[in-house]
Amino acid sequence: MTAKRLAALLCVFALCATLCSCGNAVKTAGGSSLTLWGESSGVKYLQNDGGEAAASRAASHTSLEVSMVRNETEAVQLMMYAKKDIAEYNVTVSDLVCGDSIIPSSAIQVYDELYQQFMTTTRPGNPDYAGGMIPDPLLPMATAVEYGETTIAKGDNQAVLIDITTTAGTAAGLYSGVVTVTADGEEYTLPLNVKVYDINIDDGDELQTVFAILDRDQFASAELDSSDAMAEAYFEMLLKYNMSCPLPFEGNGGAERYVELLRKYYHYDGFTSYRLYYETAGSVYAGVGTNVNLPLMQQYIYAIAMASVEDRVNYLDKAYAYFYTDVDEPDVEEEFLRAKETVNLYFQMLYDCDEMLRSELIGTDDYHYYVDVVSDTLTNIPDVIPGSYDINDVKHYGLDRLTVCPELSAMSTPADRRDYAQGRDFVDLWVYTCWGPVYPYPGGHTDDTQLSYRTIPWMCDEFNWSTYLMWSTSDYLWREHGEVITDPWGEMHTGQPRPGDGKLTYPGATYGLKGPCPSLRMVTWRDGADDYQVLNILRRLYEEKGLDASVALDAIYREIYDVGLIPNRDNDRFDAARLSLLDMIDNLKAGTDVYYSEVAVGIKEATIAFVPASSEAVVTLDGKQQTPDAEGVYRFNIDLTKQSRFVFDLTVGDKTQTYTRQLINGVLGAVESFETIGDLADCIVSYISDYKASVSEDFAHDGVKSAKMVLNSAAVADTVPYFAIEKDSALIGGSWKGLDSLKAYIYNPSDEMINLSVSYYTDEDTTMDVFELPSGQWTLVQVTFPSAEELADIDDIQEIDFNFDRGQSVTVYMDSIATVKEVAAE
Amino acid sequence: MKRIISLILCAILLTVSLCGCAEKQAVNDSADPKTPSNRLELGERRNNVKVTDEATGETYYLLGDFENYFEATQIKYSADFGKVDLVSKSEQADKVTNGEGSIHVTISGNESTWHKRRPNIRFSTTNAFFNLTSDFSDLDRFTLDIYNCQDYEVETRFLLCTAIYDAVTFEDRILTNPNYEYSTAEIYTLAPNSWTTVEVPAEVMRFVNWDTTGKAYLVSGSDALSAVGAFVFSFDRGELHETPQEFYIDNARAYMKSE
Repeated sequence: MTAKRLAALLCVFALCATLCSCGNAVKTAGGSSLTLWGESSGVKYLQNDGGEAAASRAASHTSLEVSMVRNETEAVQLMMYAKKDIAEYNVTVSDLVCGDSIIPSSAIQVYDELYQQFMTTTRPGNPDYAGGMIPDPLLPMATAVEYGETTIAKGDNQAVLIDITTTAGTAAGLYSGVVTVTADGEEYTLPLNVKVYDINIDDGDELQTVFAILDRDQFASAELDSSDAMAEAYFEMLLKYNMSCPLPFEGNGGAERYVELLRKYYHYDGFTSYRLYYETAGSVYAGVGTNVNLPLMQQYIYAIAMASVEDRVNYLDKAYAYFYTDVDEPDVEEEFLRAKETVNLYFQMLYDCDEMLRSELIGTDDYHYYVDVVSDTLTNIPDVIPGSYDINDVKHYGLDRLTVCPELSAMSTPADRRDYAQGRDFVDLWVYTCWGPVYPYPGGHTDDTQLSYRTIPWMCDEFNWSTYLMWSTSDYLWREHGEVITDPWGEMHTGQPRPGDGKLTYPGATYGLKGPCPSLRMVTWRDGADDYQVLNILRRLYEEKGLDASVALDAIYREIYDVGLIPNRDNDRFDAARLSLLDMIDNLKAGTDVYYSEVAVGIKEATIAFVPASSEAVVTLDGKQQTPDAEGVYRFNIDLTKQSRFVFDLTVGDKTQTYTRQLINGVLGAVESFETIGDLADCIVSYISDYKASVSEDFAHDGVKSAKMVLNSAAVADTVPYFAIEKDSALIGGSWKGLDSLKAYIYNPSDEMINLSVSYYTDEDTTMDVFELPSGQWTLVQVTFPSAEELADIDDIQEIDFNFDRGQSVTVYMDSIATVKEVAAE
Repeated sequence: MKRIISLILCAILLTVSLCGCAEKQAVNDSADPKTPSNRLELGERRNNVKVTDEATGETYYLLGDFENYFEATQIKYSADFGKVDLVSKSEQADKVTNGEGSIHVTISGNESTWHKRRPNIRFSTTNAFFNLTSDFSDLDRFTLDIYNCQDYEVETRFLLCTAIYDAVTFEDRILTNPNYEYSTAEIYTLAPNSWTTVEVPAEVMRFVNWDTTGKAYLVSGSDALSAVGAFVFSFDRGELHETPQEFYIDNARAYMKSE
């Protein structure tokens, strides 16, 4: 037997031993066929991962843990790994008990997760899902048992999703219960612990969502039903997942029926928007022919306004117009001009409607309510056109009143976000995902990381995007030719170039159910939208103090996605960030936390300022009691070359808590801000023939100057323009040891995107990372040094090279360069 | 001799068995309601099956027999068609004309919402289940059994769709636009409270095309049938009637010319 074979056998033995021990780590009653463990709702494992998930997670996740607020539904997952074929299983959950309080089992829904075979993935760069059996459809457990879906093949994973719902009256506390699994006569139990915070989700504003069912054809063939009753079943189910669709209305019954539906659903949780009904028979309005029947639309708006006055409820405040059959995703001049004509006519129709209502109501008791509450809403009902068009086109074509809704990745840089928002304060900025974007950006595709969809509501909160739009939810038709999909439970996701796009639900009729079945993506969206409400609660607490919660939230956002909108894919890190948000609110309400008024991180220094929630709080730093200024503000300056985080103690009464605010990742080492030519010489070199470096006042990220590099590789054909930071430079001082990363800001003054590749050179080049430098802005470029496994002696690196496209002439500015020490060195 | 008799008996049994298959398309789908009946594996789908009518010797494609949920969901019900319920012969023998099942439909529909499209049922040749050739140049006729539940006569309209020409979308535009003098719909009358086998000869099937100057012209006969996307029947929108119209539908066949 060769050493290699022996090693392989040992590995197998080790794996078996691990799996066995995983099983033993869980409290079981008579069962040995399954390994069980708990996961939050933010992960999904391939069905056929070869036991990898069980081996790495089961021993440390021996219970199901949930943190949630009142009046919320939050999910957790039970994972099972089969050590032999399982012919049948079932999962039940007990009441959850906290002292005298109970979350009854009737408030807990259990779903079996079904798996779909993916032959290819839309996300070839995503290491999490290279293809395989991916979970997405959720089938009620009782139905799964009834239809024989509860089998597990030996060596496979099987996930079960558990939804727990609290009410406004659920008492805060730690609830405990038991999840029981029966499988082929064996019984297993796992603890389920639910921490309910004393926070009511309804104290925060809901995120406005626009999810659509474009028409009933999309689900009719799979459900064999396009009746109003089926449409309402879809509508109501989607509302439970914070997905607000157009009202279930197809024109029958006219405005009277439409208002009736609006009155019914307006106060439902999750009902945050509705697309104004319109027909496309064509009409003439104000002497202009239009594809949209604007006079009919005006009748509906008029009826809604009158109902608003009658009920003293402004039903129009959730309305929007989206003439998707007329203009969508404009790209060429003709489409922009048609969009302009439609938008202008639409707003003229609104103004005319307003005049009609004022004339109708003047002299009545309703007039003042209309004028004070409804009128302004009516004349500003948004008209949205999604698309990744350039914001300059919107300005160029005079689409001033248009509500812009770019695809999420179009706003991936701070400059993009600024461009879309600037000068349009009177119009909300929406965002959408659809066919695109794809990995690594978040979206609703089936083969994305489970956590991905949950991050979008967080982005909406940070960047003040008022509304998220998804073009469809329940399209069981082939997008290419509109014919029915043979098996929506499997085929619609595996055969589509963008699996899951516009297809979030599954037809219940397949399993004898009236109405749709949900998906894992819907759960993760719902939980993200709930997070948005919790974020809003924190914002309100800050507003009460006259402060902006963004100062506190910045650190949490960065744990969830980076400034380029790329989500963190580490679910444990997400869970920790979310818990810190819940704890922050809880502690602020209890008076045992601080309101941050300023956290400013510079190149070498940071400033942090806060006000304790309780006026009786005592702040202690390094054992010394601190004194606030006259306004009660505690202010500190931190040397980032000595510490990366700020730690202090807060004492209220007899309770002392330690708080940590992370400022940067790692402690800064050498820092350079290029204020003199000597600074430049200490740091940067280049060996290409046509290279010019200077210290310039053109742009500065830190101080008043930066290093200007002009690299003309075009002068010598087929060379790569680059500059380098050498190990022996004054900045580095002859050794890279103890360094974690190198970071710098680079400014692109050109009108075009510049590609940058950063590599280290030993006796050959090894790429560390690649970057896109958008036009007209500073981009943070940070590269991590190779680990000891990757490179035995880090000092074999002679230089770090900043390489641009071969044969190009490039001018860039660099500033605020710094080395970052490994955290352990702090 | 015994051996010969056995062989003859086997041959008879085999013939009977094959005839049975021809008479009624065999579908490996359980009627057990506890089976999620559209979760068939690809290999179980009935691709490109041509059936021979035992009585007449004619061959046809069975494009809609509505034997179970899976089959019924392979038909597209469009423009707010309404509600479709499966009907079994054991419960309503007089409402099934072929095999063991049919559908009962209650039409909804609102043309204004649907860009002037009428509620329609669409027998596609191109979905993954049937996977038929789209070349129906040898089509003789298309037939569909419709039971009109109303106590008055009702019209249904047959339309031919190609892969790129959606006849339903253009139906009324062609009728109402003075530039287009053609209708592509064939109108059939359904007698009250009875079955009608609507029989559409290939000769009358047609669609409209436009030349480079924008002038419309008809394409008909085998030229029209070389790339069929779907055979479609449309109905009145629901709101035109005090009570929604109801029908039973079964046995959609595309008969091919004798070889």
